[in-house]
Amino acid sequence: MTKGTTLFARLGSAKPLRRFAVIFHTLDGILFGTRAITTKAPHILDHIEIKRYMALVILALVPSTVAAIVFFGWYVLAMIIASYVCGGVVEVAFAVIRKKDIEEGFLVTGLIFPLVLPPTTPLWVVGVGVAFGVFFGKEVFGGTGRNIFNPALVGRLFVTIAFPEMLSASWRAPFADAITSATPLNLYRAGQPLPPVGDLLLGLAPGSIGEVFRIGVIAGGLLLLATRVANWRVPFAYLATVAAFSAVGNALAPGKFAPPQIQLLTGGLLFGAFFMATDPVTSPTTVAGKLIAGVLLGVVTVLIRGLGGYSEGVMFSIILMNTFAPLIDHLVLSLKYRPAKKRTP
Amino acid sequence: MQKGALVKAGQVIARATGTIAATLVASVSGSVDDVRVSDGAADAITIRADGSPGWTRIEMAGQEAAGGTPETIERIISQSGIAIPTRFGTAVIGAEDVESVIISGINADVYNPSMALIAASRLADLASAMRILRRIYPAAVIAVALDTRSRSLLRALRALVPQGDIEFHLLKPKFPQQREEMLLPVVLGKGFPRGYKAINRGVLVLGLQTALAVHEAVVLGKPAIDRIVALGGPGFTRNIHLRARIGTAISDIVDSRLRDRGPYRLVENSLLTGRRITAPATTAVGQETDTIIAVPEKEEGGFLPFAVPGFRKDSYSFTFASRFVRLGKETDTNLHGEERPCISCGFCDEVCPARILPSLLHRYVKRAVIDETIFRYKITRCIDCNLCTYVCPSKIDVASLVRQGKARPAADGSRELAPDEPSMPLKGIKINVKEPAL
Repeated sequence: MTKGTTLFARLGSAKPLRRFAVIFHTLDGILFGTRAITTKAPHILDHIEIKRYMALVILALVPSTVAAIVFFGWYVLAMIIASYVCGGVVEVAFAVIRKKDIEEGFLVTGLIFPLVLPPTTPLWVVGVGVAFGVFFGKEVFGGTGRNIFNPALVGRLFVTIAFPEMLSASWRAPFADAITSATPLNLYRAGQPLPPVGDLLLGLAPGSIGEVFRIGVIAGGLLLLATRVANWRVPFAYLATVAAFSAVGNALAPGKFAPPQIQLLTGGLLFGAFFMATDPVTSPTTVAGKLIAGVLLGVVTVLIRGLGGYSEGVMFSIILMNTFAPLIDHLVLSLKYRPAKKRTP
Repeated sequence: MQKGALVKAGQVIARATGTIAATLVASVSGSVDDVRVSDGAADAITIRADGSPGWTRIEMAGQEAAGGTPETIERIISQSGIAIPTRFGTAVIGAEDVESVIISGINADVYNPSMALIAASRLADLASAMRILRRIYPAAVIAVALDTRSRSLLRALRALVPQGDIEFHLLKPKFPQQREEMLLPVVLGKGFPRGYKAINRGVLVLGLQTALAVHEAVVLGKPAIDRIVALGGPGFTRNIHLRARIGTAISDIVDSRLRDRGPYRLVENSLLTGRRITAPATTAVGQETDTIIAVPEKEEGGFLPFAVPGFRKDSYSFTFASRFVRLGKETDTNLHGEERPCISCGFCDEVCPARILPSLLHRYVKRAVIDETIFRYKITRCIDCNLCTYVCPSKIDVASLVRQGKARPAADGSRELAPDEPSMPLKGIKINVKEPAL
């Protein structure tokens, strides 16, 4: 805690509010930055901080979010608010109990989670899902930085399994009221004609609300890579593997594996590759590990899409990659730094 | 030296005896005020200056001395107070142990003295210094390393020395290229065991100013009594260079030149690795001082600091406008963010010049897991440049944690966990021969 001179610091130290001091401290940090200074060398520090880091992710999500509201109506905004409120309660409760600042990573989780849901998801499911994701995906591990799985994906996986009929059977095309059960990936499985590539890029085919406007997803993703907020290696290896592996699969079994251009422009692949697989906490930290993770993601995604029971495999493959991330890093490190040979005296 | 004794600038006032025979030269004329001899490193003689500008000329010096025997030159150098290897034991190694000399003028820090100002008008003197060094180290490789901003300086200097005798290197002015740990591999293709100095590998690294001082001592007979010191940072009313006698109190230099909108922090030589000057009145300009920096102690973050474009805010990431426009950057001591848990963004791993993984190592040390693993991950390669702490978005002092990890086993006296054994021949130190592990 900094000097007790500001309004927020005074509010936080007032007796009835003392328990909630972290909330005021967080607000103070958001509005006025920090008063702390360095004590030794290095005497100056980079201006990047976690708030700006996460703000950049939010900024990169703006095109997808705005497009989602345009395509699917104001209900999308209600979903986002529901997500922030319900997830926020869990996040703030943990911060108050732990007496640690509220972590900015939640701002990203709270926005990404509704964006990976179908436009017909009831608000209570949004709330339950995000609360589950934040609680079991992050807080039980000790908060940001210690979580093994991407919290938004934990929530998504939970609602997919808990409410299957709401989350995999009812979709809606943009600007349309009619409920359909067929996303382009479902159509491909059924051997039916697909929407043209232009429609897929502009977002005119059914899908999760944030993933359909693919031009916006690509633009936001490139912004993340260009600003170094996301490392390019995972999405690059992921998308390249999907393209290469599906080309091979399509040549061998055309009925099962969609061709590369369809694979890349359908489902949550681009959104997942740019915004979820790049989560630094849950992906490998080593350079080689990131590339290996990307290849693993690509292979698993194409396999699930082609041969699995679900028509979409991005979520499962990222969760699987999260599980293996520590192991991948361990293998890379043990190859790079072999144990010193025991010297014989 | 007795209290009250009268001394002249350039007069040898103290001699350290023992392994190293360092000479201490009075840098001003005046009367001795105080002699403090302590057991530690901080022996000091305080001289009350009488204000006279003159100095005592070293007797043997002159143009003919520069072309004379190495012994004469080395005797002059040992009298001048310049601490470079001679047969008179003025450094940790002898003259015959010097295999290479690197004259370095690489400006790769945040604030640097101007190499053009120090050397552009004195190219002939630098060439003379190189001839002198060649005489006392006849077999050594002599190399000049400058950065790409001093391209014309390097070209002009090259024209003045005999072809082929001196190596010239033009390096990128990228921090921490100026440090000897980074210079040796690039200039000489030579590494050395971490934790030791370049001099222990027979490499003498000299700044341009010290090289010029060698010329001044041998040819002009001027002892090493002064240095050009640059005043850097937003805290000074003007960023100037000035010539100061060695031993001048920092407060005498900065007090009249600081802006009154303080407080400012004074730092010697480098904002990333330099020493903080907490008591300027009792801290003196030393043999190595080349920049004094004043940065604002900024105990406020500004309004919505995470959302501003940041035209003058430096960052390794490309999240600030400063990456896209060329304006001067501001410096201050604010953390620019609150400490957060590590999110494994990998910035520290990417910038580490020693090519180790600070993100991994700092976690081990933080969890107090200090075992052979961190040595397997080459923690001893760390060169203490502090870049990892600088770039960290979570404001974790990564460098200090890595330093703790390096230091603890040694402090514990642990034999198994000792850093890399020096596998290369070292000079000027005794290596304890270890018993073979059972």
